Amino acid sequence: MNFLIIVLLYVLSHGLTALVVTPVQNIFLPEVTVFASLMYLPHGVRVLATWAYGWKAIPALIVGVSLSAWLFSPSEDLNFLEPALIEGILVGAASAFIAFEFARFAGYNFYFGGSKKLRWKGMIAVGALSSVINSLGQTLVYSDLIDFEKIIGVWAVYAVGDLIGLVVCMVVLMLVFRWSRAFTVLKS
Amino acid sequence: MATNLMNKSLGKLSALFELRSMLREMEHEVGLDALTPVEMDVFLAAHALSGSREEVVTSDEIRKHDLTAGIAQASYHRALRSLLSLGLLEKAEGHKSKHYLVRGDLAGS
Repeated sequence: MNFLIIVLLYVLSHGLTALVVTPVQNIFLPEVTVFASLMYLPHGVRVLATWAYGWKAIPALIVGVSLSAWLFSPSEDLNFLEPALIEGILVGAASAFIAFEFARFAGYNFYFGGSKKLRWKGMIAVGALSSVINSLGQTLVYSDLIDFEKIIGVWAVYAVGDLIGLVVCMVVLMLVFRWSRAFTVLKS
Repeated sequence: MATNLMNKSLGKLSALFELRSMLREMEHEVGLDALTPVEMDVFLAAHALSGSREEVVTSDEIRKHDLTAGIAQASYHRALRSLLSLGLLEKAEGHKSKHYLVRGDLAGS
């Protein structure tokens, strides 16, 4: 069940990014939109799912990323046998886990149920580390396709997009919980 | 078997509860904490009494207002304390205790 929830949330957030965020961004920042979204919502799903389920979130994220790529990428650009695509999917799915593991080795077990209770600022910090790992990994995987002079810019846009995506996910969830509380008060 | 299933369900719910509590804390720290209905009634009563001239209002005056008359004493005092801690009401200077000033900038909005 958790597996399906993570897959669905990932596909939904990817769909929102691909069908809403990216076209809007393309109007204002077409030169950036060619290679990355400045608000990549699935990063929020990666980080929150990994916080809650640890390594068990990785297979679900792999399925979510693959399904999203199949659903939202032009079919001629997609070849699941291409090593770069497989590596990119694996890096994306494992980036949050690697960040949480870094924190654990440094003595901060931030997973849900771990020794340290993670607060919201901590979640954003781990999400930031995860976005750095992901963007570094994606830049390395796709280094052949990116001009060397542009590599730092691309890396930074990936990282910023992931981080903004996580923050927006958390704010949206915060508002959903807030509205649900207000609804409960109204009902009572 | 049944205990295992229950523990699993509780585990899933706890993650959701902890996420909810984490985001509640975020809401509070970024200043988006919503007022409870009682706090809102006490604030509106104080605002109505203070009027546009931003007059000092007393705890007794707020307590006797139509909006707050039905609130239990303990809830009323909790709401008053909460409004003070949120900065929506301030203790009036030059007065004895239980005199309050409604924050002008918020009262006007």
